[in-house]
Amino acid sequence: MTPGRLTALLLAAPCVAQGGAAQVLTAAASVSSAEHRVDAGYGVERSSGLLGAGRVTLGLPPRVELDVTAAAGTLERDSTNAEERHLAEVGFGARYRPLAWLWLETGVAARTYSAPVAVQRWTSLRLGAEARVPFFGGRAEGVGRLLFLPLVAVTGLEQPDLAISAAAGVEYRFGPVGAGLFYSLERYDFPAQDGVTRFEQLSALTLRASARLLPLSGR
Amino acid sequence: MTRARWLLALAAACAGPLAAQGGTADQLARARALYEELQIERALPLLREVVSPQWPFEVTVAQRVEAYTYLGAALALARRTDSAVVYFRAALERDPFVQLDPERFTPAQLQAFARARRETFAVGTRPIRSGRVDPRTDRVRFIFVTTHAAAVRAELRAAGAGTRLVLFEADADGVRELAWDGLGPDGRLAPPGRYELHVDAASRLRNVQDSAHLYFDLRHDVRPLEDTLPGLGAADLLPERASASAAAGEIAAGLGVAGGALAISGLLANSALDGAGTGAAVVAGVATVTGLVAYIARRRHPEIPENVAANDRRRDERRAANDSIRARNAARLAQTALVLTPAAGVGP
Repeated sequence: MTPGRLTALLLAAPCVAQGGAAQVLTAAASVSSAEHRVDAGYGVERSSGLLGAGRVTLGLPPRVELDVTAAAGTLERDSTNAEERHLAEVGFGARYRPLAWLWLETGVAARTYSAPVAVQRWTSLRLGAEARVPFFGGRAEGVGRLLFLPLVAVTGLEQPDLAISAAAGVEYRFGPVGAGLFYSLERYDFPAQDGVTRFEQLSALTLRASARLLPLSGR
Repeated sequence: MTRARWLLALAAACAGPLAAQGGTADQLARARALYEELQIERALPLLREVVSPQWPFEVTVAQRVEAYTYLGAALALARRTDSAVVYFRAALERDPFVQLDPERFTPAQLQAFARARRETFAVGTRPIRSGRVDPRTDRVRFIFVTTHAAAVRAELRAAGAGTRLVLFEADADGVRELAWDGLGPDGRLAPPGRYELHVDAASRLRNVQDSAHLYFDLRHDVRPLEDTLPGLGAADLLPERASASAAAGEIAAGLGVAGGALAISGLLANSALDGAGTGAAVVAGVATVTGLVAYIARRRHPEIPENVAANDRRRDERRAANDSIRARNAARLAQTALVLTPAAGVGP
């Protein structure tokens, strides 16, 4: 199955979701300690900072979720060759659960790195899966996610040879609210241009809190 | 053989039985007509022929009783009272239910018949009719008779069960009707089976006793009952306590998340960028601690509350369903009707 067909399938999934099930609306807020590393042939440039994010998820039980995400923050430079940059991102995702513990996921995201000298825009298509394994009597879930980014468009750069995003963490649930701690990593390996290979990586330790808004009772 | 000969042969074959039935009935009809015309002396020989051992035709009990009764009545009219009493007694011995209609017979005949009743002691029961009785609104009717005053005890006996229910125990004279509500001695509906109505009577006038029996089959007419749901087996219930392996699974889950975070940091991170920060170690530590805490909690409290609740729900649902079925069955049983069929004896 091609990435396009899989995306179309996931985007059409809400239409085939069970009409009788109550929709679930969840809001989440997170704060991440992010570290950005890039090597464009001049050594590793490091910058880090706090990113704030919010996400609203519409659940169409039992198999479909749609979400909208927005994130923003400033990455202060940690190395002399780096420069401060502001990160802003919006994204849309759709998830389909074929198994009780497995979600197939797709989405698009638009990210902007704003630096004093330039603004770089990233647009990406994400495809992958997330495993959620309940433990601690259902009070916690172990989360592992691996996404491939087959289409990444970056201002002034070619499509990367390798673009992946992975995450692992634990999410705790207390009735309608939840809290989670995650480690995530994005890696981009760009092809060589003028004999220079560009590597870029964004890792983050994220603390996230969520609350179910609708329905107020239920799962 | 021609068609005419076949018809003749068929007619000859049918003639015997028809003549036998017609012979006794015709004879009785002629005797009755003569009696009604008060031609007593002509009626008597016809009646005597019917009760004679030499009478060539079949005589039913009813016909024989009728013949004896008309013989008694005719002789009473002829003022031969002692002989009349003898024939009336013969009729009563065969059928204690015999009665003389006071509007059709003379006082002399009635007196002779009353004397015959006093001198004869017999008890009889009227055959039960096949039928259906709703014990909520109706009763099973039995009728017995004694030829004169007697101490009577009527019992209903369940064949083979030894159960006895006294329906009547008192003095009686003549025809008596008994009503049975269909209940046994325990107050419950009598179970299906073969029953005997046993009537013992001791004469109050003479030192003689007699008894009569009536057999019938009793059947319950009830709508089919529903089966209750079977008990919940192990396969129908969720485990209510976690196994030791489940506790170990808690650690495995925590370590799995920790391993995943470290693998992302160690294997997926670009080594050309000097690693990927310390966040993975934090998540790995938290996940491991969570797994350990979950393991300890699971060992200390192996109960699985959600499974316990689910099993309780299933038990409650089954109990409610069975209560409903029992209520419906009780309603059907309450509408049970009794179906009675005459039987020949205790055995089949």
